[in-house]
Amino acid sequence: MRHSETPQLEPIRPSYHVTILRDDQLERLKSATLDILAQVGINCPSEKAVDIYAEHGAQVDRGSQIVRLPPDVVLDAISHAPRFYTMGARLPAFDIELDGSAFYCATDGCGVETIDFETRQRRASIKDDVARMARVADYLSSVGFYWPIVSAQDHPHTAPLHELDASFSNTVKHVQTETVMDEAMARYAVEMATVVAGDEETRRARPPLSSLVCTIAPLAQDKGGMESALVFAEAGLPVGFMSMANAGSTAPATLAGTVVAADAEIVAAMVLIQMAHPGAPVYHSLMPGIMHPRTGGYLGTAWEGELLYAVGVELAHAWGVPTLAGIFGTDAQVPGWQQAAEAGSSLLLTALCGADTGSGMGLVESCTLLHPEAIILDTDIYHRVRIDVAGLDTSPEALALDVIRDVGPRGHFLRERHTRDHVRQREFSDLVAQPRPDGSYRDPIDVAREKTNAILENHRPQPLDDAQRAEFERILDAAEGEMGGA
Amino acid sequence: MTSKTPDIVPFTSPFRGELLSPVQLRSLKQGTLRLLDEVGIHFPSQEALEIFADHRARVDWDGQTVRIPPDLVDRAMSTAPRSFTLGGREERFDLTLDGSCSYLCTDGTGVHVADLETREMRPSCKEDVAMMAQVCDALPLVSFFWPPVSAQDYGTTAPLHQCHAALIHTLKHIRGGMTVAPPLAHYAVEMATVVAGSERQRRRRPPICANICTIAPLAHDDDGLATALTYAEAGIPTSFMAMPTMGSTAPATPLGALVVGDAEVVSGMVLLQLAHPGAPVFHSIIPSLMHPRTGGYIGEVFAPVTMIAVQLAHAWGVPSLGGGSLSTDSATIDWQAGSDGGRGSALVPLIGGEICGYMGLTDSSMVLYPEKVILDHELCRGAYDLLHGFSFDDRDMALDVIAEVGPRGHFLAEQHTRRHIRDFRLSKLLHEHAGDPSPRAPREVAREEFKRIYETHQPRPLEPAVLAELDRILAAAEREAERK
Repeated sequence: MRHSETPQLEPIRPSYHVTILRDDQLERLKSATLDILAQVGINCPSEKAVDIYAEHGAQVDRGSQIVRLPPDVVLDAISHAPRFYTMGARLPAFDIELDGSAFYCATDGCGVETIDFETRQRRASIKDDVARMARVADYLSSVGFYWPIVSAQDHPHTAPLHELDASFSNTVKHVQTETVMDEAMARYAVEMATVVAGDEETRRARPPLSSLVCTIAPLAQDKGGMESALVFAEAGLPVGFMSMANAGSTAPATLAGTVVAADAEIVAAMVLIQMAHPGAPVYHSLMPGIMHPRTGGYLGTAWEGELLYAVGVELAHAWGVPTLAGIFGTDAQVPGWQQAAEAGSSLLLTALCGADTGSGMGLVESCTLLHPEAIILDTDIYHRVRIDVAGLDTSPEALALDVIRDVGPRGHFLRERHTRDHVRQREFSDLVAQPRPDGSYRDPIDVAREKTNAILENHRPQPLDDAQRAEFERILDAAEGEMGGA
Repeated sequence: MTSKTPDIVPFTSPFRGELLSPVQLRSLKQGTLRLLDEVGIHFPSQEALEIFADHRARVDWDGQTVRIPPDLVDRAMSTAPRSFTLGGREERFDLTLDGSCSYLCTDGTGVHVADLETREMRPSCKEDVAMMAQVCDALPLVSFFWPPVSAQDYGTTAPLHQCHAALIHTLKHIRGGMTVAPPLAHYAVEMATVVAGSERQRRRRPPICANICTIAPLAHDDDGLATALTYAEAGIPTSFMAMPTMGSTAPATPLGALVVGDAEVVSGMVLLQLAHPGAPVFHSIIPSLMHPRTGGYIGEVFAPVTMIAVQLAHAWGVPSLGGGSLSTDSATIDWQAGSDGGRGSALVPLIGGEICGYMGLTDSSMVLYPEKVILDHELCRGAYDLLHGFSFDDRDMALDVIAEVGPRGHFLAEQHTRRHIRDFRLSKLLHEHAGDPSPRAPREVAREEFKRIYETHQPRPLEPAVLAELDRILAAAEREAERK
């Protein structure tokens, strides 16, 4: 079967910026993080990680697995972290250069349920969902890189590797995993990245895979997650750490308290990576929530909480590393008014703060439920924001004084060549204002569903070659032989 | 029993963006000056043509076109005040238009209403204006009440009845002046005088302002001009609003549309300054796009266009009506309306503009769903929380609490949590739950909230003598309208 071209990426390139925190505020937050790391410490249940911390000057209490990091140790380690690097793709045209000029966005990830593509019934997510949505994401210029959007629950023992298989096989873009959470699994994932890159040197120069590991709030790390991160970093694959500290339950019930507790978790993890592999590409991701005071529920899109996504961008840059910002994400259960109303503000603000990467497109219900058409709806909002923060053509041709003079008062511009030349360049939504035969407009959600189906029917990205496919099969067989599921 | 109207909450923002450099702005203004000088503007009004002729503009009497030399534009605009006050019924509702903050307004002027009770779509009427004024009176982020719909139960005097319904049902500033048959315009001024208490007060703290739409490209409406001159003479602040549509009534480029709109607005402001130097005027360009395939109207334009429109107003030394907008082209309250509202509210503090927001209508400002103003207000409150800056002190960082809890603990039992967890301003609309854990539809909650306010909020009424005087003015206006 012939494959189809993958459209070029269209990252967000802001023409102006805003700043949330003053320099002195950033310094106070960083200083508080350093105080927490030195005085309270981090719980690290990985002996391997504790050994690395100890060898590099941390004070380690092996009984309680608490690691305390003196400020000079933190600052020395973090000074090795690169601010700019490349996130490679299967095809070089889709490499992402994190150079501070553009904002690349990814899908959301690791949802657990899917509204079935055909039956529209709600069910547990499977590998084929990851594959299908990778193809949709491959087609969308809004998606800079792909997070396996749901969990491959039909492969319970080796789900993360099957998610990578489904992703790499269906998109030529960079893939970021958020589920490889133990050392053995990480080694197989690195093997897959090498297969995609072609060789170790390319894998290091243009890593096609990166990883995200969540910390545990408050102030703790996951053994498997950290050991997996060390494997990725050793292989030159970027690793990031995300804190989802929840104000009121796993973090203080104040925004500043939540920020510093979360920042301490992220920084401690990045420090470990730099101690073990100085110069390894890392990134910082602050995605806090707020506990609903009456229900105890998780609120990912409370307005004040969203402000912290932008604060996270500035903190990441203050530590000298790129960010993965919180974007989109909705607590709504279905696409509709609320989902759309909540979607754009975090993207707009993090873009204006200079975010490097962000994730969150395509899921609803607090990042757990895949509605196949949600990514198309989010893409519409993405492009609005992309144009909202861009500049405007101020050339004499755009000013069009001659055309206005020719038309004159009470004329019209319909038959002007200038109109023909320019009207198709205007960007506007292709979901809204789609007419029905009776002149009324179609529901944008129906249009989005149709577009999803059309992409799935027609878009076949360049596949892995036969040798790569065979290698993937071998790796998956070996993993299943080791971990079960064969 | 009357209720206290809450103080209004203006939007201040540390995040305002400015796209054009001073040099780029000057070049755009020079484009406007060239159009005014070389192409001219259609003024179908003998009175306006005479005013321009008296001030040595080049008047083509047959073509009713005026070419205005740049020095005359500059001289006229130099008398326009950069800052002035829009009055409320009490001083705490006065709006100071000086660029330091944005005041949010309702949208206008629709013609259909989804009835609050029956949900049937019907033509709008005066009672709808009264209902909306009463509810908006209770919404702190609504600082400026534009009658959202037309009083279609009153023919040619509808704008006066809209003004009347608003003046008696809210203490906030009213956009009470619209284009009317010229002999009726002074009745709006009379109503403003009665509510203000005197002519002097009307001029100092005018309780109404006016908006006059231009005609794109490069033209004015005869009744609009006559009405605007009446309002300006009375000190009623007046905006000219250009609505150029890229591709049909303006070039298919944003900058081309802006310069067409700017020429229309500036020509109107120049006329008022020549006739009544110092008259308070403001500037408004609301560009749109013609759908290239259907020819339909796309009201949503991108932020840089609106941002430049606001910059242009300020570059001419007058306030701006325009900025972030929650108005939607969607026919109903759906995904599109949510997308437009969420984005529009977030743009309010980024774009600035003295009057902006446009809350409450769907279908390109044609249809009123009463509950939409509650939803829009909530989105604006969210944007206010989100974009109001981030301040904290050492106590907020709670380092002692973090140390006390330590790794792998929790904060549920902490006194600090009990003290502060209620400080988060969670949305009652977005995070409201039914008896079971499932969330309620925000629109349903909003409709309930609208009804609750409508049933319980009674703004302080005007004095009986003032009400009687307003009735007398309306009756006189009706008689004059019948005579026409």
